[in-house]
Amino acid sequence: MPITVYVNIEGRKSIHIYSQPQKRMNQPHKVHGDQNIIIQNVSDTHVTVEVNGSVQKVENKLEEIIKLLEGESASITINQISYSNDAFTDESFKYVSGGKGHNTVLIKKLVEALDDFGNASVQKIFSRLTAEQKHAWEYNPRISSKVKEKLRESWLGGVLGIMLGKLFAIGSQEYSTEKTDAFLKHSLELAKMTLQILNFALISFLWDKKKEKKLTFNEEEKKVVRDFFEGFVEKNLGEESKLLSDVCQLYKRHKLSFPMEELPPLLEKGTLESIKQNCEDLHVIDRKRAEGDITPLSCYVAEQHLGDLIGSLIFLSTYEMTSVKKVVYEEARDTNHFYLHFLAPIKAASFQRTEKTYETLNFARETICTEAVLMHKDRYQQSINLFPFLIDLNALTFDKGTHIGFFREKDTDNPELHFWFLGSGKRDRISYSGKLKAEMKEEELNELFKEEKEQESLRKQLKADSVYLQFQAARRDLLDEKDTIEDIFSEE
Amino acid sequence: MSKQQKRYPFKFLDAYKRTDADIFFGRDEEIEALYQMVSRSDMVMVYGASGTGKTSLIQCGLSSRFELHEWQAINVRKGPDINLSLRKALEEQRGDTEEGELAWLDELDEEASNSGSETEVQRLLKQVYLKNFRPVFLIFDQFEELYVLGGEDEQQVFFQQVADILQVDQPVKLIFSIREEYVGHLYEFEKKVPSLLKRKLRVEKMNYGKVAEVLSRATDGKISLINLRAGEEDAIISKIFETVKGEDKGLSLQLPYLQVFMDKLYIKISGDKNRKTPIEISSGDLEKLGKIEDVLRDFLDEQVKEISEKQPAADEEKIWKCLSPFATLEGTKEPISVEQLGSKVADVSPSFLEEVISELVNRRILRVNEAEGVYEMAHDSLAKQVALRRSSEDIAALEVYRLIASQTALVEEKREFFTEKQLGIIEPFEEKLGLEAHERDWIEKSKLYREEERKQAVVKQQQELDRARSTLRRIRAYLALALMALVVAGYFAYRANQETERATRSQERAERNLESFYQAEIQRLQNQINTAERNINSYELYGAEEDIMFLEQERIQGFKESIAALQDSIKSIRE
Repeated sequence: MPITVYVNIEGRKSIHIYSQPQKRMNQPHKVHGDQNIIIQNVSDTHVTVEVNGSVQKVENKLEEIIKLLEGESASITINQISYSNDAFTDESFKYVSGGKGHNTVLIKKLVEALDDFGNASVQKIFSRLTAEQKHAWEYNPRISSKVKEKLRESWLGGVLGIMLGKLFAIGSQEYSTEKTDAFLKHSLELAKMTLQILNFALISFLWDKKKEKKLTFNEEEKKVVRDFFEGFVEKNLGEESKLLSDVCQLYKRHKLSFPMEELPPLLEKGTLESIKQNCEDLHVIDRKRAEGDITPLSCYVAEQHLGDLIGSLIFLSTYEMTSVKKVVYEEARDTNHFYLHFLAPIKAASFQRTEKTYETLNFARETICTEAVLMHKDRYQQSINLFPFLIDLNALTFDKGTHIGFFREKDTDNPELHFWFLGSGKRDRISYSGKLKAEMKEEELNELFKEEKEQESLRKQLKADSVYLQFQAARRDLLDEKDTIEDIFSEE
Repeated sequence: MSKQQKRYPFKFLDAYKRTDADIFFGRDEEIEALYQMVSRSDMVMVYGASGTGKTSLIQCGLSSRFELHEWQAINVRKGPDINLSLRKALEEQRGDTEEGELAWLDELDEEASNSGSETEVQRLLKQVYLKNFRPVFLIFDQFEELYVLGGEDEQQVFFQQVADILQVDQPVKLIFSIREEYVGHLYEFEKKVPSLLKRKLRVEKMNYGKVAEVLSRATDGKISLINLRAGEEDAIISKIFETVKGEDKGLSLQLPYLQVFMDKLYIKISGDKNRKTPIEISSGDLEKLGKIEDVLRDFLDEQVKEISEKQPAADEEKIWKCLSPFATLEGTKEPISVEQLGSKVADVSPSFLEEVISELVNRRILRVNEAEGVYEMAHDSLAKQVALRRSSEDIAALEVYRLIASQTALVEEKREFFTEKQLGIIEPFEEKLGLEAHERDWIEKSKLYREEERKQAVVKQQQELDRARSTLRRIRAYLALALMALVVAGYFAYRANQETERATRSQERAERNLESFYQAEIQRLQNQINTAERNINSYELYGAEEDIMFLEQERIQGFKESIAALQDSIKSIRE
């Protein structure tokens, strides 16, 4: 959208640029100074400037604007934030002054990564664009919105795309400090989600392999695992990146196959190092954000790092995620048995939808874990179960649709786990009631249901309990240690 | 917080918006409940009595729970047709589109989709979402208007539109707000969209506790221009509650009454119509206001009186007449344009109307709906007061108008012409109702149709008379012919009868002869029996051989059997 930018040179030292809504274009606000320079309009190629009543059209380049300062050293003030001249490149200047929208850097990096990776839907779009349209396509709203839609549907069937969609929404808002803050917060959240999914997959797979191969971990390795399970404070991006690196090393030392075949080549290429660097840079921005020391330029930098980080994990675009809502056993007399798998694909399209039926049903000879959140390619039967680190709350409460929660930390005082939920963007806790105990006998369970009048409510509670118990079981198995809190409840 | 940041905390009859979240009090539980429902469902129904604050709950309470990037509200109010209003609202939100050489981008989805082509509304929703990727909240406020003012066709099309919207792949949620007395009308809608009422929230009127919370928080000196005198807070709040409640026996009150009362109180104390002067309310201020029977009625009376004093040409009655078309028969808002108002209020010049409307807007009794180019009452509660002031003649006129409007709301193919009786009812009001061209047109067509119907009836009667006469003539001819036939038939019948009688007599004679013959034969056989018996006696006397006697007895037996047969024949002849 073309915007009006008002520029004023105060004492020929600085330029003030204020983004204003389109409707005020004809009412420029003149600021007093030795010279009044008013940028009336900004397009991708040119800036229309009024200097003391004389209208000029100059190229939309930082150097052209700086020429107006007649060579004097200057700072540039945009939206009441002062920047040093040398803080900008031409591209970042356009980004901060409004000549480029938010997300243009990010989507370009992601689309290039997808294109290189051979993503069919992206290639289909770009194969039909003319050479002229391909040039600076990210500024063409018609093309970029379609590309954004495709990006939203990519990466784990859209799980990461849901967060990308939120970034696109924030990016489309008019300038405000709240926008800058929200954009950075969500960028960092997206980076964290991405690393968390990898870490969940690696830890979950490791749990299975440890039992299968009866592995023994040394103290250093146990520390890595303990940090994951017993981190009583939510990990920051740098810690998540370190965990990824440490767990990968653990896999390599024990010569374990990776849950995702695409990971070893990336390790060989040193991708983890670049991810680590991206995370550190993003973490710096996050720290500044917490201190309130951020500008739109921070968003530009964040887009660069986020684009590099997600772009380096492009293989995730070939994976999907599915929530197992329930499994039903069927065997009529003198017939073959079947298992009915009730599945809910976790997609950007079905995000927070309850009316449209996205859930599918599959007849199978083999059963499958209930309450599972599966990460897979073509067949969900060949998948990595991310439960209990990634949960679908709606599967636990027998509700339609999916409500995906990422494990963030274990409570220090109570037997409960803190999850961050993708839909609401808020944290919530899953508490252990103590009703369900590890390896309960069927008589005990039946007795429990006899005593309870609200059976539906009890079932929901038991499902929630299973999240905590499974979490504790994974910890116990991986560390070869007793789970003290669960033991306390078991003894009661 | 500095003095400059203090706000006037009341909104008069306007709904609270997202930006008013800092002065919106007393609805925390409802906001949380609604937020949870909206988060977990694609569709929520908010219902409650008029004046309970449904609109504010959604536009302020709910919206402020979402971050800006999570909330793209599209408010849809029923204009002439709710389906057009929906489409218009979506088109406005989408803005201009550049189709041209990039139109194929949309076709990519159609190629990939298995669900067939999308509807216009589905396509618009997708474009709206892709414009800024914010989840879309379609808010249908005052949804009862679809039932009060809408036609059946319009309703059915809308129900299908909603069913289609629920099938889009973009994050879209629908929120309906409806007065509770219209919830029953949702039956047909629910048949089309079964989950319509699955998640619903009833907004209750405010009881004393809630009102006390609203007043005490809204008069917090840190944020508000209004302060309650220290030490008198509870007494002031209690007095306000009782005054606003008036003679109502209930334990709750309607928010518009509270809002209007607080505004009146503020103006009385501060004299500042710009509402920028800080004030302190004391119990004494409330005493000075005196007894108020009905806050809104008094407010409207005052305003109308003030306008009439300002406008030399206007008496109060005229202004009430100007207000009347803005309220439906049921006392709900009826949005109308200046032109429509002009045609509905007789003997009033356009300049007078403009001045009155301007005054009513300035006094916040009317508000402009720019999207539809109409004016409407600021709140249903005001519309109700206007409705209550109507004369029985005005009510009759409105009932007549409703009859006309309900018929003309249907597409022409489905309409029925007004009956003679209906036209009779309409006629005395026709000039006063300020009907629109299409309504007048339908009345005229109805009249022509009924006139034509009458002419055809006369022709038909004449034709029937002619047919009856013709039939009568035919019947007479047939009768004459029948008479002749009867005579001929009588002659032949007579002749036949004669013949029959003759035949009968011959038969009787024959029968008699036959009977005589049978009798004679019986007599002859009896004689034979007698002879045979005598022979047997002689044989017994003279000792004849037994064989001979046996033969005689055989003969007697044979004769007797013959006699019996003859007697049967005689019997059958006689029968």
